[in-house]
Amino acid sequence: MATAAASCPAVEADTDASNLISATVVAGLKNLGTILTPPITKILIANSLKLTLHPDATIAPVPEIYANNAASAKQSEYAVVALYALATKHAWDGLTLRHQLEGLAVHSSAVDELTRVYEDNRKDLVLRQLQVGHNFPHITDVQWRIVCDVKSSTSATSTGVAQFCINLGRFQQSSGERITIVEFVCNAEELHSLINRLKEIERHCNQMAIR
Amino acid sequence: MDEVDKIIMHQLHQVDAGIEPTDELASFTPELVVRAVSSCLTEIRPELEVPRSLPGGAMAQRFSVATGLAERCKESGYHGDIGYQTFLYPNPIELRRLLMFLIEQLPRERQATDDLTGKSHPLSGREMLQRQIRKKLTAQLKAMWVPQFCRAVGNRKSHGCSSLCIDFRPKLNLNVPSANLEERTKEVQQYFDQQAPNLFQQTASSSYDLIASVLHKNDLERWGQGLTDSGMFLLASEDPVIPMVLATEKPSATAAEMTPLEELTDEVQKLRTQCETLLGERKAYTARIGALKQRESEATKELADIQPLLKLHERTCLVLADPEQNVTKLEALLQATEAKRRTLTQQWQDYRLPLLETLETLKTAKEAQHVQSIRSGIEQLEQELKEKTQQHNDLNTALRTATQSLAPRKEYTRRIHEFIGNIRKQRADIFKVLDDTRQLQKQLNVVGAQLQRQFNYTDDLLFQSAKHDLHAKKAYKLLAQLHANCSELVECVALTGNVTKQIRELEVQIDGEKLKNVLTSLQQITGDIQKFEQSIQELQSQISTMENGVAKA
Repeated sequence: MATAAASCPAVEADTDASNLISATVVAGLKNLGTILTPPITKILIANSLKLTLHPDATIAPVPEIYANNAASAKQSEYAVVALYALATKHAWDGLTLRHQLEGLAVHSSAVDELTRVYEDNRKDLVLRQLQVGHNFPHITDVQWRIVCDVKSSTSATSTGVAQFCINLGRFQQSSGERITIVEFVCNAEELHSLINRLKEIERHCNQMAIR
Repeated sequence: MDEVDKIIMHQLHQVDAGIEPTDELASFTPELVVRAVSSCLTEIRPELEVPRSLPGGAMAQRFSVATGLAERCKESGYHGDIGYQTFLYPNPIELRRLLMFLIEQLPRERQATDDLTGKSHPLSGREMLQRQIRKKLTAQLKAMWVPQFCRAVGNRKSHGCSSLCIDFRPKLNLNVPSANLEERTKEVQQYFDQQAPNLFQQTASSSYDLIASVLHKNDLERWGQGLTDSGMFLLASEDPVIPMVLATEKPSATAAEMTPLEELTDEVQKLRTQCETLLGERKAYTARIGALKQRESEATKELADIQPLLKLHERTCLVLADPEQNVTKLEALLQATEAKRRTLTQQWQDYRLPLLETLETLKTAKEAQHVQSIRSGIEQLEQELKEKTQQHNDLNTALRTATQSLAPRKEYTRRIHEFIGNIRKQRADIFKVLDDTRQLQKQLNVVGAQLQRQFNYTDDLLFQSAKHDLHAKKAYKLLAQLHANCSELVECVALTGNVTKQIRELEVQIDGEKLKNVLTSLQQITGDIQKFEQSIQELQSQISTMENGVAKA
């Protein structure tokens, strides 16, 4: 489900960084400490890390990063985020990261800063990346309503048949807001059919598990 | 039930060889029940530690073992009624139910693995996958339900796809300055310096994930834009075994499949072309059939034309076969027909002539009648004309006289108008007078009321002062007198008014009576009275004479 994280560090650790890191990332990393001054570099890395770890939080913007050489700063932001993502993905430790960065001829102050920040926040980065992946809509909530019309614009008498309005949904992770996955209206017969299908699926799973 | 028992026995024997299949379920001792259930449970869940046998001594121990086993069974998902009593005091029906459940729960692969143990050949990929699926399904089915918000990163693996997962949704066109500074034009550089949103702004939307976007872009740049099946490559780099198998299988499979496929497509193509040619032929044939039908109809028409001609020719041929005889025959025939014709014309003439004559006579009679009717019509019209001219003259004269008598009529109308005008004037005057009178009445009323009040006030004043003053007393008396006199005066005036009114009415009445010729009627009445008196006198004289006569007699 999730992108492969700390599962196979031994294999990935010695892969060459030049294969994993694109030219843009390399260019962005080279900007650090050279085109962008060391203090700006520090601020940029810290800001990028904050935004990576807390994508939903409202973090105050840091305009001084873009005061001079905005294009380079934007490139470097991308580079830092990409570097950390790749490092987490391939389960590099601090030393490997330093080695890789030195291999790319990144400015020494930037290497120090990047490595330090990575080592400090490695656990958070792993946890953050563990959450990324694909999944099927996981239904965790059902809202239902039994409806029967008494009178309508088209007919003065009630049909007398109860209808089931069913809404399957889940709660959003960040805000707790409810998201509707599927909503449908059916009669008792159809509902029965659905329930029977679900039971059938359950039985089938049981069978599969036993066999 | 025997069959079910047999099956249960067989299964139990397979699970534990110590259980003899000959034993009947009803004759199971508690020890045997515990052994069977515990061996089944260990088979289902090998990690469980269950007591294998029932201790023979203390009752408390036996009880705890039985309770423990019952709990294990419940944990395995048995919903029936179960407790220590099931083991210590076995009941065949309950026991059957429990054993059937346990046997159903037994892992099926056991037999297969038993079969394969001797051969020790490695499991195929498919089997491995199935086994993994099975393991996962069992784990998930046995896992207890965890609320959505408790499915954090930590226990995520044990719960499969967690609902707390962030979707791997990259922003596909992440806009970041490229590595080559030289390639950037001045405008692009300016755009990136001033306007371009930074990385975090671009992925701020909740539909994208920052890390996913970054990884996607990085991989895209590494592999180039033209790479479409990057997923395949990633798979290949991560797990080289499966793709290799696929790669090896693929060509052979395709080779095997390609030839029949090609054959089939060829066949289809052939059939298609055949079908097309057949369709073309069918079209040509139908066209030909149409043409032939047209020709047939033409021929039948011609035939119909020719047949009478043929008959004629045949006859002529017959005639020409023996000319002389036939000629004589024909001549005789001609003469006979001629004679017949003559007689017929004669007859026709005989019938026709009298009818023609009658027709003539009728025609003339009809015409004469018509002429006469027309004439009478003309005469009638002439008479009408005369009458009309007469009427016209009369009306003309009447018109003249009418125009002469128009002047006095005008005069009359003028006078009537005058009268009407006068009447209107008078009516207006009358209304005016009436208004005046009303006004006067009103004033009178007002003045009267005022006077009354004045008098009352004065009366009061004088009465008050009269108690103290002699003059005032006098004045009061005088006032009372004055008031009485004045009221008398007013009454007199009113009376005179009434009298004058009555006089006027009487005058009007007199005038009216005068108009009714009272004098003449009076004279008549007096005349009549006189006549009556005369007749009365006569009657009296008669009566006297009669009396005299009677008396005499």
